[in-house]
Amino acid sequence: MSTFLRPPGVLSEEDFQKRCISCGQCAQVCVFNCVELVPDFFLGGTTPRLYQRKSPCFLCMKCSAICPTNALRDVPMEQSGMGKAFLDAKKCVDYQEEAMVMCWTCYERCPMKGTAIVLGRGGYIPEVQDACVGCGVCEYVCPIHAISVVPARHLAGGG
Amino acid sequence: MKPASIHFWRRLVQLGCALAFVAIPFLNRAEINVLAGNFLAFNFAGLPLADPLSALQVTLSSLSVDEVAMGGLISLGIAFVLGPVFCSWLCPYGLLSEWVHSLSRKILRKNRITPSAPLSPAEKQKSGMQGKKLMENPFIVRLSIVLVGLALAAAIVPFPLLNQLSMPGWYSRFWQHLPIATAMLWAGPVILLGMLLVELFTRKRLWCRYVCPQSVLISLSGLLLPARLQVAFKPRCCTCPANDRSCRAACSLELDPRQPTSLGQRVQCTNCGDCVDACRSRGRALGFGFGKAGKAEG
Repeated sequence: MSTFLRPPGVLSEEDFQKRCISCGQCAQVCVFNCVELVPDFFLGGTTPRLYQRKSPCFLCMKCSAICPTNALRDVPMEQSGMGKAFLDAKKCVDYQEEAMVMCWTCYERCPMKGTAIVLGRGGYIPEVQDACVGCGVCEYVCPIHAISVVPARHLAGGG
Repeated sequence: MKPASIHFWRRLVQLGCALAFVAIPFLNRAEINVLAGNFLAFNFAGLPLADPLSALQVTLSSLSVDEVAMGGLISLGIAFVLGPVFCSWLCPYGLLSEWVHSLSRKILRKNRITPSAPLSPAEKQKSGMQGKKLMENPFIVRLSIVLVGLALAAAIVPFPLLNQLSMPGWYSRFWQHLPIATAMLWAGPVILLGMLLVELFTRKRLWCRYVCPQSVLISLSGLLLPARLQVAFKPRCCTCPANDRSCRAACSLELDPRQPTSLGQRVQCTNCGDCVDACRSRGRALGFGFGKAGKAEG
């Protein structure tokens, strides 16, 4: 539970911290009650977090639309920029030829199915594409935790 | 029937506001999002409202103008016309602080201010100085806190630091966390109750007068328009002797309502109307009006 995501439309972590005034509107308008308000430390703000293993973001984009300080920018879901999913081919059953399984759970549940996760290699093995915004739904639904999201602030070049 | 006092209506508004911020997080949980936010930034059916200081901090640190800046300007506009009415009519900490203040006067009878008791020479001198020496004005302390906070935020601290000194912010954030309940904000109640306890034993409204950074910008905005809503004093109606203090005793901010035009007082008065109520049974020399005292209502 230690890794968490910032809500969609998030700026770089540094700019986000500067702008977030802890008004909590993002958490209050979240349709799926996924955004949690977590005190960073005593005198820091109470900033929004998503724990993707507990409740991922379904990219309804209500939070980024209401954010009054643009700490979360009002962007279309394709530009959410929360992070990026990484699929562990050693764990994923679809990659194990001897297992003869077509799980596809991540692909089926991906809010950006067909662009963020596609079925490659002849159309039966899920592959994460650059379009992935890191909403965390795949990590939430994967039955064997073979796919996980790295938050944008931990990615090289981003965040 | 005796018309209800200003105090009655003010308490009604204060209570309504304080309870609204208890109810809003639960309404949000039930998918009713017409009202959302807290005392740092609020969304009123699409209309942004914001604490001007949190808006200023974001604007300065990001060097961009966002929706929150408009919310802050709306709040400043209200203070421009009506004075710092937020402090006395809406702020939930103001309500708690006023309750504690009147409680402290009741239970700690020692040094209780009684109306019409003559002023001691020292007090007389003090009241004469109020507003004349700007450096002795509690407002200067508040202003300094704002300037230090803004300087710290620009130099060292990478987040809006002064928001952590927002008592209404802590109040509303506590209730925001209640329906979520995964991470409670216990710092809020501790800070609120701790400060109220200090105010109980000092019998002074310390936070509102000396600390609250959020009040500074709205107080300053309230100085800009001479014709804004304010308490007007009509000396020819005043029936009390010069050293009587029925109106002074009513003011929880320890101002002298009979000097409403001095700048030092104008910047502190929050238009609560307690002095106006106190004067109603006397000469009705104090009343609300738009414009400088004396001019309003003749």
